[in-house]
Amino acid sequence: MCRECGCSLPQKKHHHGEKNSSISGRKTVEVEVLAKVLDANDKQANSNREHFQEHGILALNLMSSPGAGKTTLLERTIETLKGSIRIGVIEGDLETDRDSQRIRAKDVPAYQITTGQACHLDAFMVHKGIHQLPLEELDIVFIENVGNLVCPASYDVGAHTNVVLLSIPEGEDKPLKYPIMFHSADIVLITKVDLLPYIDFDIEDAKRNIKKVNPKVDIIPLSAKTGEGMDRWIRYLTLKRELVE
Amino acid sequence: MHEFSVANSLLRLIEENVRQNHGKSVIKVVVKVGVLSGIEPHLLKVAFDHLKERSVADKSELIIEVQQVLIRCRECGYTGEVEDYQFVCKECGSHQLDILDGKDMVLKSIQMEA
Repeated sequence: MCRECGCSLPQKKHHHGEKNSSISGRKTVEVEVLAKVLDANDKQANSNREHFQEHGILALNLMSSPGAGKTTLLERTIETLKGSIRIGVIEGDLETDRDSQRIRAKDVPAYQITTGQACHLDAFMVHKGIHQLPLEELDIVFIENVGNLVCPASYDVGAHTNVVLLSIPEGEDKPLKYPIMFHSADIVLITKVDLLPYIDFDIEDAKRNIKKVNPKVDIIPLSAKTGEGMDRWIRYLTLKRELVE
Repeated sequence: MHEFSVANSLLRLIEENVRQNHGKSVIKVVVKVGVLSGIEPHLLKVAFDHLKERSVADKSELIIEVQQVLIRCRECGYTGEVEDYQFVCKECGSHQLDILDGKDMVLKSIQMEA
């Protein structure tokens, strides 16, 4: 990284101005810092990841707009993996613990973070959640982020994998409208495909739009309601979990 | 609207640096905001100007330099900016791109009264 402006270019390729100056006779000093503003969060995120790793846990950060089906996906995933893979959930919402209640109803440990007005989870909030879960008894931890296609993309929470959901009713143009979120994904799940006969949604167009902003991302279309595509998601999770060890 | 959280982190970083350098008050703060950081420059300024009151940076000016996404193609070596978040090499069409810049928000420098 260039030590003068923090970019990844070698120093010789660009110029930087003089450092010290004085304004209207006052003695001033200009200090170069070159620190990432979210450095404290990134460090905590790395520590969270190591924590998961030490316990052989795969951690996934689920992100989407509100109502894309994150909690329903979790419910079906828990039911399908019952008896083979042990799951824990950290839930983020502005208010209420409705989602963690839905998860606990499946006999799975869940910790609810209510963020108040905060529109995203950060690594510090997730760290608190980690210590509320019985890690030695778990194989996969899902971090269900606050429903929001903007802010959560800026924060590394310490997961291994970013999962972004795009539901059919949202429209196939969302990856182009929220490119930073879809660029941050390791896998995109196109959810609620059971609604395809009723809604004007071109799934091939959606895939093209996702690949434009994130050419290397994996995509699985599925329906948690009918079970279509769920087998591929379950195989993905199972393999990812094996690779953590 | 996570810019208030980001501005808060920025102010903490500024205060830490002012303390280390035995500075008095901050005159100017220069940050680089990468287009992929998901931070909106205008909202960052609003949040910073609101939160800087009662801090060592209360009279400071925030200079925001927007950094476009800079990529290098692994196939043909092309280096340039990405337009409209289309992650494809303009020269050879490859998707094998390394992002050189434009991902993070960086506090570049602080001008302070000594």
